[in-house]
Amino acid sequence: MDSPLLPEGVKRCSTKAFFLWTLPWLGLLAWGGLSAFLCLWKGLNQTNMSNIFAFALWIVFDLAVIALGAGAFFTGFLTYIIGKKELKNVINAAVIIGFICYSGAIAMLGIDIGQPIRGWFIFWHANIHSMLVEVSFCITCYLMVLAIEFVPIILGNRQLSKIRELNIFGHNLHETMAVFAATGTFLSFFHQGSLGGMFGVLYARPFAARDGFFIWPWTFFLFILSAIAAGPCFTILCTKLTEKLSRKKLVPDNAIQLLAKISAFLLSLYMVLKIADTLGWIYGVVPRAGLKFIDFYQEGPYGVWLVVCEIIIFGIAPAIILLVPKARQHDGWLIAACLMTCMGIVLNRFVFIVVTLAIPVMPFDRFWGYLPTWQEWGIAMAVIGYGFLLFSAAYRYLPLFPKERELNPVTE
Amino acid sequence: MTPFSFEWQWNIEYILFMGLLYIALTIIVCGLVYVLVKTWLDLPMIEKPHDTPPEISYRSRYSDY
Amino acid sequence: MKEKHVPGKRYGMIIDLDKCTGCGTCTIACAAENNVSVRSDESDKERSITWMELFKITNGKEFPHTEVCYFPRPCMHCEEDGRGHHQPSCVSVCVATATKLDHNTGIVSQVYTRCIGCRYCQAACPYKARYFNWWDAYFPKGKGLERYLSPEVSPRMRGVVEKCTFCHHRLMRAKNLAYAEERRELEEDEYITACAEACPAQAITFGDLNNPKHRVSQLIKSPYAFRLLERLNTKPKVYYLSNKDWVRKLADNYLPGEFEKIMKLSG
Repeated sequence: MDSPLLPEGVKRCSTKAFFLWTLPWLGLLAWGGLSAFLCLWKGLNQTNMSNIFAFALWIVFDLAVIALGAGAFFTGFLTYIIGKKELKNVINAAVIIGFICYSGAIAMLGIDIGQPIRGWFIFWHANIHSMLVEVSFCITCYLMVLAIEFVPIILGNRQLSKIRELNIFGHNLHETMAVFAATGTFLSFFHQGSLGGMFGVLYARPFAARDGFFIWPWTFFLFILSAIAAGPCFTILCTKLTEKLSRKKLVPDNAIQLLAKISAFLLSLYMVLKIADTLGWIYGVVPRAGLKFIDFYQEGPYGVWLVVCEIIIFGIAPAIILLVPKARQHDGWLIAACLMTCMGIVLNRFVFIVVTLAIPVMPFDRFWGYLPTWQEWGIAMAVIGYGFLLFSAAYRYLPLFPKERELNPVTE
Repeated sequence: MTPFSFEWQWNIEYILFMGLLYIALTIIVCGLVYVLVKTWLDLPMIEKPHDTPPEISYRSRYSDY
Repeated sequence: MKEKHVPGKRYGMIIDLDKCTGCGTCTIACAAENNVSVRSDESDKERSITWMELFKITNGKEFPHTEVCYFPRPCMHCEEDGRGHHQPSCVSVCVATATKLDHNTGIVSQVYTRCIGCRYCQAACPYKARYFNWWDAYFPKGKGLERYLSPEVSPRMRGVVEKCTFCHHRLMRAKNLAYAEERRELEEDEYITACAEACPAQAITFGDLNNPKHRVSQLIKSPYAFRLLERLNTKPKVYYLSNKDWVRKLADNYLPGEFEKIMKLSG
């Protein structure tokens, strides 16, 4: 039915199969839509957030998807600025993943603030000393860049590319992409950093507070590094998932291997610095506040296992797997390592947000717990549903993987 | 925020922060305008299909006559 | 962050914990004075609004050695963020400049119509002194509460953060009166907060910390005076007073051997 819209020379499932595939994701979107309506109509009392857990599931999701979406700017930087030609085979997918992550995060933030209609105050009455202002400015601008990067891919659609004006426009946009990629890199660098800075500057919360360089706490640099280490891993995961689901090879191995190799070095460097930062925190910030390392891990479910998981299981272990060429060339190990890296980054964001708030600072204060409501899960899941829908539609209708035709010749 | 907003302060922090933001926005807008103008300029150039023979004038085709 | 503190008024308070009986009058007076919204179920302490919160602390010993102390906690109106910047943690993180430290009074204000409800200030405040309006403002009708609403304080809309303002409107009122009487300076008792006024044990003393004649500025010099979480360097303007070592110890975190007991009374 939609065959005129499909890219030429590639095989796609039937319209009916595609429709059935979209149903669960549409279901998630509907769940999210209802949750968003309730939160906007009745207020944030629909969530289990509280004066203790001012930030909760949504902010964890926001920070996680923004870190995972870093593959877009970093792959763009490597492709257009550094000139890694092999990454042209994966850049389209990376851009779309980035677009999904950033647009999803901004939509969630729009619901997360108590007065969504006043959202523009961040830009108009900006307090430039707030890390969150830097984050808001940069992610909004970067979403514009991502949209610009997305346009040539959309214009590559079989029917749209027949329209000459659009074709020339898409071509010219593609030619100028290095400028946008450079701007995107600059913007991403700052917002990834500021997301870390947001928690590092909570100087009155010893669990999150960090020393730093000039106005930037160490978390500023660690968040950038962890994002550019995990972003490519997430791009690899999405590509591999698409390959598994479509039962086709879509990206040449050299592109994936290059991403994995870069990720390995960045993750290793990140782990070294993260360990140094943790030690600096244990022997600097913590005793200054009159506390011991173990004091933070005694209440509730948040024990030392968090540090073990973050640094060893989801940090050092995937770094080693990705560093060993033989291991990363094996599909199973590669996917496992990428998955572990992504989980490590999500855990890191979770720790900085939820655990920071859960641990009381006043010695006589008590520990509070938090579990999200179905409305909170609904909105978070809607981002996943939206991601699957947009990525599936992009894969079906757009020339997402330039080498697909070459790698999978259609035999009549 | 612009230098005309009442929160604006003429100090290096504001100039750097907002300056960098406006530079980034300017680059994005200039890039887009450049692409649009280039597209508009490229439009009159007639793209010739590869499978049809090049159009040459009747006179030059039969130059012998 | 360049804003330097100019010597002027620095309003602050000192709460004598040894006098506090934990009656909760300060909490009620504060809520009534500032039109603090109520809920039908106030037991949900994670989401209820109590600008002046009352904590109960004990020395952790078994009966008959158990001792109890009540710890009223308003907004601390901090002067620094813990890293030497001349604005409190909540002010430096606020995205929309909705909260400001007034360097002429030392009061940390909250502009409700400017707040976008991102709650970053709540995350930054270690004292949990900031409250978010999870619901629309509610004052039960037919129970007389609406008759007590103060016309001087704007009620807060859903989705914004609120906190203790040191009854800022009382300062405005006192200033207006002084202006009408062609006076430049306020008398010590002309501007005090509702909690200080209501405390039956007179445990709360409020005044200008910069004015050596004000009782508060004399009381904070006591060796028994301390601030909550002082070593975080947020420089609160709310002081406490207690001659019990265990109370002072519970007001901050100490590594073993760090806490020094006060052995001798001075003055």
